[in-house]
Amino acid sequence: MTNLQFLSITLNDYRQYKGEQKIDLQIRNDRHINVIEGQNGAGKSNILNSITLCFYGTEEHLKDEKEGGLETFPLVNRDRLEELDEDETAKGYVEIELGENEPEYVFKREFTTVKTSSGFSSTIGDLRLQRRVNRDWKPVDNPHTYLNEILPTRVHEYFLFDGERLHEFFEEGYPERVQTAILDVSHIELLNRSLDHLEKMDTEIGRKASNFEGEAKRLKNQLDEKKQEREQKKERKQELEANIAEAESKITGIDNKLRDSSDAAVREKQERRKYLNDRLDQLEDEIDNLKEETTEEMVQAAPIIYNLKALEYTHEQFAELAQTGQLPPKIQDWFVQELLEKGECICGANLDSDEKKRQHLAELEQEMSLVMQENLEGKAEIPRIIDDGQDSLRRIIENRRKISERQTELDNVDVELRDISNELKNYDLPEDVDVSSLESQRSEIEDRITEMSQEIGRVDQQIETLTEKIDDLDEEWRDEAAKEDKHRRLMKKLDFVEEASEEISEIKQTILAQIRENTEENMNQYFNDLIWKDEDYTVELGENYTVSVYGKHGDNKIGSLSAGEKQVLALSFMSALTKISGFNAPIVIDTPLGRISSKPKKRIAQNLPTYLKDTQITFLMTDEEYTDDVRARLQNSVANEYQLEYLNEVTEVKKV
Amino acid sequence: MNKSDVNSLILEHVDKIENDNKRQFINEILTFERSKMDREQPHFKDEYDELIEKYMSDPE
Repeated sequence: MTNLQFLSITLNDYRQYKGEQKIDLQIRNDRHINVIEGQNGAGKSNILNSITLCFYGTEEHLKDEKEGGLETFPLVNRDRLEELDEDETAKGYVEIELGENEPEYVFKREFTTVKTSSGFSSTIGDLRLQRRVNRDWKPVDNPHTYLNEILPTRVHEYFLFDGERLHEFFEEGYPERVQTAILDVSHIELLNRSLDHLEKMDTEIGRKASNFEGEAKRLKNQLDEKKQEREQKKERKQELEANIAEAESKITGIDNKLRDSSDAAVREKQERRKYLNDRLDQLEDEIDNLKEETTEEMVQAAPIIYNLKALEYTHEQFAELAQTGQLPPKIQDWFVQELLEKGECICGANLDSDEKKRQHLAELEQEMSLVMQENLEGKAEIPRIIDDGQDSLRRIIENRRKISERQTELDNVDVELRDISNELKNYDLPEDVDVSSLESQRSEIEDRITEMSQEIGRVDQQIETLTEKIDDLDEEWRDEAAKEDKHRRLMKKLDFVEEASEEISEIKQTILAQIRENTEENMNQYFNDLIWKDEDYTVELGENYTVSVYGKHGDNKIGSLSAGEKQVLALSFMSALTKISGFNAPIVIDTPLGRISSKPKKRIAQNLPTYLKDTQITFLMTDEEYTDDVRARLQNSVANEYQLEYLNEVTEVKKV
Repeated sequence: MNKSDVNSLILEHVDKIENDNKRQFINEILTFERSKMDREQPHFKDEYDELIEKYMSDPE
């Protein structure tokens, strides 16, 4: 294993952990898992907290009630503080050794608690780092730079997380979280930054070019104006998109209120509407896919269909020629072969003494065999081409039938949705939420969304037209500027920057599609492996980062998954992320099986380690999670196993 | 993959760029950006300018 791992974590007087307690976590060979088991309140989550405290100066996994009231514990161990008088302080620290196989970095953060008349007050010190250079350890001035290379703040939540809260990942507004996770973990940000910086360099170089004179200057000014105009259009588009997102979130809020109505009929209609909206999305996707397939089919079939008459005529001609013996050609290649073997041409020339004539005949033989082969192939190919064309035509007709069928269903869904809306608008339930008013607001918002979407379409069109104009002007300006020698170097620099930008943009588009595809494929496999139901699911990751989980009837279950199912989906997603990750950090999961019942626990224990086999994983588990079954399934992968023994508010880490 | 490396998924695509100068230039700016990942708005103009000057001068 060459990935970074936590080699050890040392807790010194940190919360429940009294004195210095070093937890060795080094993994070896195939054993890449650590298990730290403890009852609720024993301090499992504080091991996760100790890591985030050391690295980022914050404890992010507070479980006040369950963990025995963390808020009541000061940072420094309470027993230690008991020994203090008022206004005296005590210090503690967390130290983490990181490396591939031996320590390369030692991160350390101290904290101080002061005993006051009213209780305790804690402060957190700065992050410190010792780095090994050859055999020596040297303090590092900028520890955050190193930490950010290993596990930046914005990414750490995908590596250090609380399994029990994972289900929240797929709650409302999750597409943004999915998108952020994918973009953050995959280093797409590096491409974005490079593009942004190259654009700024392009502007800077362009500014120097504004000093040109004459026609070049006029064209440059015109170009800049158009670019500015396009920028304004792009800003308008972003504004509209943000407004649409806000409007959609308002609709979700209204939907939630309607779903909570005391009237069963309103709740039912709301449920029906949810189903219909999902179906509408699905039908739109299906129609788009069918249209795309049809277009591809038409592109392939068009040349055959347009040339069908010519192909049929050629085929008839071939048949006729074959019948009259003209095909294959009258001069048979065996006849020429015989002449070559005899060494005498039909004209009487001696082929043994006349090399030129022999060569001529040999070439003729070669050519004739080729002609014959082409004729024979042609005869066989043409019917096949005609058949292919007819097959394509049949598929196009079938697709058009399917499109029309789905369009009819879509129209019906649309009508039913309008009916539901009209019925809700006429509801009068004095004791309930104001259904009628909510529905009217909902309709207004939907209308606004439609208007804004249409405006986005128009703005897109304007951006496209402006881009064409900008491209033309840019070319004209460059031609004009390049006429003068003194401008050549500047223009070359500009060209280089723009070409590099284009390359990076292309890479970004390709890699975004690849990353989405990889994530979808892995999520689909992991979810089906881990989920406890026998049904087969299809997990899809849409272009806008929505996740769909289709059951056997093609219904999207993402909105109705239970907390346990959502946790499995999130675990699948987190595991899929490691496959596209640009970071090779270790993973720590607190209560990984918290919301999972017995049967899936075994499946997860068996499968999850294999998905992440190149990564060190540390599980912080309760005894309810780390059952005999789970232990048996993990045993061949476990490198270190610890038990947290909690007594009189003090926890000791015992190696098992 | 080293802790300071750019994601190999990205580098695989960069390696496919045929023009040596452009490929090396993009590799270098990505490495530069990776090293500045912790900064919200890193200073980049001098470094970029130097790299552009270095790699734009391919033989004509």
